[in-house]
Amino acid sequence: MTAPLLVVENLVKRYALPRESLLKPAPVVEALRGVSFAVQTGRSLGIVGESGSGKSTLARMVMALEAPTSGRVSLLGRDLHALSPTELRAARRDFQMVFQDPYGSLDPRQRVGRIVAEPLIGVGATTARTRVAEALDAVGLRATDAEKYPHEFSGGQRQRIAIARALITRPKLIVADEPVSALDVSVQAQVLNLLADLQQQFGVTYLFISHDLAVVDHVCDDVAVMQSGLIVEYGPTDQVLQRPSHAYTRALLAATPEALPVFSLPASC
Amino acid sequence: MPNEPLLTVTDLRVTLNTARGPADALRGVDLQLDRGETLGLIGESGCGKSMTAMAIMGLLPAGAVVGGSIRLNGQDLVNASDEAMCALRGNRIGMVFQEPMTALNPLHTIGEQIAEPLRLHDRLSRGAARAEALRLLERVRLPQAARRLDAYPHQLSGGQRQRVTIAMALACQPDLLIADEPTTALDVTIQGEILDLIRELVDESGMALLMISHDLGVMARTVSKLLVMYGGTVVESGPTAEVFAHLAHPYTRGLFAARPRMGAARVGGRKPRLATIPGRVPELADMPAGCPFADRCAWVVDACRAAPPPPVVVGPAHAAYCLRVGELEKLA
Repeated sequence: MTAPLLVVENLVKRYALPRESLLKPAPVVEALRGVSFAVQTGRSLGIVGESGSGKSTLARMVMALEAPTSGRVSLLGRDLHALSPTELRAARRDFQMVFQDPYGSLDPRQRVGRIVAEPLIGVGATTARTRVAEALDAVGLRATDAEKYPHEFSGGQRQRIAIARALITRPKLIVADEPVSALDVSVQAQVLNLLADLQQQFGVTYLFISHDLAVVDHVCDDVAVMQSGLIVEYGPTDQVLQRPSHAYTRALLAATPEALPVFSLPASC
Repeated sequence: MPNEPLLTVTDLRVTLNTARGPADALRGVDLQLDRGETLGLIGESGCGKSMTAMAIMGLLPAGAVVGGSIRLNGQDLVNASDEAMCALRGNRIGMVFQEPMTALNPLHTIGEQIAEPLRLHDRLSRGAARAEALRLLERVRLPQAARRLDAYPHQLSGGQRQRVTIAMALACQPDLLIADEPTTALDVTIQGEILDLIRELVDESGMALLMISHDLGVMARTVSKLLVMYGGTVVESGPTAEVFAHLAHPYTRGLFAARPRMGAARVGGRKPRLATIPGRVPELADMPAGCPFADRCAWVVDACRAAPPPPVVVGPAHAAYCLRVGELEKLA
């Protein structure tokens, strides 16, 4: 077995809240209380849990957007939080992120070509243009779309632009934070198929954060269920979602309408 | 008319002024809703589900041209004055929206906000309105309701805020509750609690519920009748269980097939590709003359593009607006 692409070890993050009283220390919230997991290259790990469970804090730590209170995040064997700013900037080509809101995550005043090219560092203009065309092609957009502005695209197309921007550095890892939850059902299906195609084509690894168990079941090989800053259940997706062992996983499944009998329709429909 | 349903919408048409000229946002919507009934409007962005609700509430954008008729309790709402609509909203029609934080005023306590419609419509005194607000907060099971009466919206969680907006909507015992994506912004376990609460309040009070959602699961859990909307028209209607059991319209079938299915078997370690609907929703300004779904439909024939298809009965109280629905059973 080869070394895992991403290793997260005993990650802890505490945030200080505003003081309630001058005489007492500021209260502290523990967003992550010791999270560990590893992801092999080309596989997908789903992170599920409700608001406040620590999913997005975890994403920010893995993306090295914020430093953990303690613990390590290693990508390709390097501790991301121990790198110098210069080294980190160079390392960022290996891990990219796709956000939830395809309206808020694209600068409305920049052309698509410039938005998609932004993560490229130290690349000439001609190469950049070729790479943008490749990335747009990979997500099913036209090279000429580089000249347009975000408002000329629908929500699903904007999410394709965001995915193209993540792909342009040819990353090993893409962290996707609720990438389809702002999309309509039929558009969501197109984007989920695209993510699967890209994984097959480029061998990219996904850390896929979602509250939607049906989507995680579809995309992910493994799943980690988070509650109050801890992973309470972890394992292969089929096992965790079909034979959950933790009470919280069972509660999440029970609240998921997709688990209702009406959805076990014949495959012909 | 003693036998008139609570709400009757007939051939509702809404034309909006857009940058590209007039656009038909609703192109002849019919619906009926009786006291105690629950009806869901389902469809994707731009299908007209929220526009239908806004038309009923008299909250359409400026410049919108409305045709057809909307009658509530025998009263015509299309030509009603602003004063008449203000007397209905929050009184005979209760409303719950998607974002409880934007629906609530951050500068007023929740007690004041629930008391407002009671003082305005029912002319209750300050003290009586406050007492009633407390009763309503207890009714929607807000924990520690008495302490929370003087709390501000930011001091509550998303689910608690949505309970407050439901309490506001119920304050004047409306005949009709309109809930537009009431749980879309909430966590899945909270969503279940809020939907159960809405169901329970409807059963208990005998009011009618018009629920708007893009989520098939929310509908399955909440409403007994369903209208599937696409391109400003209704494409399928019927009892929820009947529609789910016998999907008729090609669009409804496409919508169901596009959902990831929990527990679907893996092939070579991968889930099967999701079925997608080719193309995209047509722009309102250039909606085709015939069936709005024609350009994306695998079974389209020339006749589909000629005129809007009539309803075809496909089961008990179940109809699909599709010329070929009779053949689809064999073709699919």
